[in-house]
Amino acid sequence: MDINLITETIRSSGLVQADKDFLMGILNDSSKTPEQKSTAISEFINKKISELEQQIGNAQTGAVEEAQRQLENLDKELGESLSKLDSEIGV
Amino acid sequence: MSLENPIFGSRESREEVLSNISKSPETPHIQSESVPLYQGRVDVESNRSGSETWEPTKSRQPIGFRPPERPALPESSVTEQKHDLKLEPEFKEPEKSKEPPVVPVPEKPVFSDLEKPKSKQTFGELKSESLEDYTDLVDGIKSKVQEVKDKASALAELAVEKTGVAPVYRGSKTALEKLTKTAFMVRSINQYGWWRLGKEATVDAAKRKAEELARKGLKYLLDNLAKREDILNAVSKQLEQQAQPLKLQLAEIIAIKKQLETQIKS
Repeated sequence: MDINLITETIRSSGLVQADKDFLMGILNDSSKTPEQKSTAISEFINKKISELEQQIGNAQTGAVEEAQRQLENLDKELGESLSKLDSEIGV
Repeated sequence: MSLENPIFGSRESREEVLSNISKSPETPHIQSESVPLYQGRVDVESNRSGSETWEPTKSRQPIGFRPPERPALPESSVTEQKHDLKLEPEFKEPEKSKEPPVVPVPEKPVFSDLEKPKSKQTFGELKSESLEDYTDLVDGIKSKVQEVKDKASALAELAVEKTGVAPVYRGSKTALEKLTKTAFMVRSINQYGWWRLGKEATVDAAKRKAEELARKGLKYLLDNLAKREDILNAVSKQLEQQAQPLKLQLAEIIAIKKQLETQIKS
């Protein structure tokens, strides 16, 4: 495992600085074996992926719920408009 | 006829009444007892229209109703029946005053010649005529209805495509249900406007009303569908703004993961 190459990959990535610092801390932890470092980095990245997917889902759900509310208002509005037409012919 | 014998009394009383009638020299003799008691008919159209100027409609036949055939009466009976009409108290003109007679001004008819249905027409004929008159209108409405259906269908697909959530389709489905109701309503006015619109139910009035309501109904629907489209586009834009940076981050971190896994293994 080439620590220098991995360090360069982390520094040049688009991760936020806090995430970069956390990953660098794992790499520089002398108490961990290379396998432990590899496992810790994989776990952290998998956790980040899961969080991002959750955030995307939340954003989608919120927007859809708001759209649903507005569409239901339109249903009601249309129903009222058509009821007026009904009353005009006494149906 | 003696008032001592009520009409709805005992059988004997009724027979006595009938025997008295037949003995009366001024009463015509009716041979057949099978003549229906009620020979008239209710003019439903006049009643439903609310017209106060009821007119007998002898020349029109009600739909689905065939009046029972009268048994042929002997000519003498017919003559006597005609004579029977004169049993009504004759109208006696009041004594003429010495002033010159005033020419009565004819009342303005409720229906003009255009509005008044032809006496030979049945409702079925009126309906057919109305549908024929409305061909262009009905075709126009059908075209508009198809346009709205296409629009709603496209919106439903857009909703699923943009949001990825099927329940949003419910809005478009509801719009289609409303549309069906409106289409039925327009068809109903088209066919039965003559009846439902009462005194205003001329062919022209019914057509105008149908056009007016169709125009209003379709405008409501098209405006409503346009608003739905705006909402879905706004949702799509909002999702793009919120989710796009997150998706970019996700794509990048997946790439980093692969790169690190490769480097760690080597």
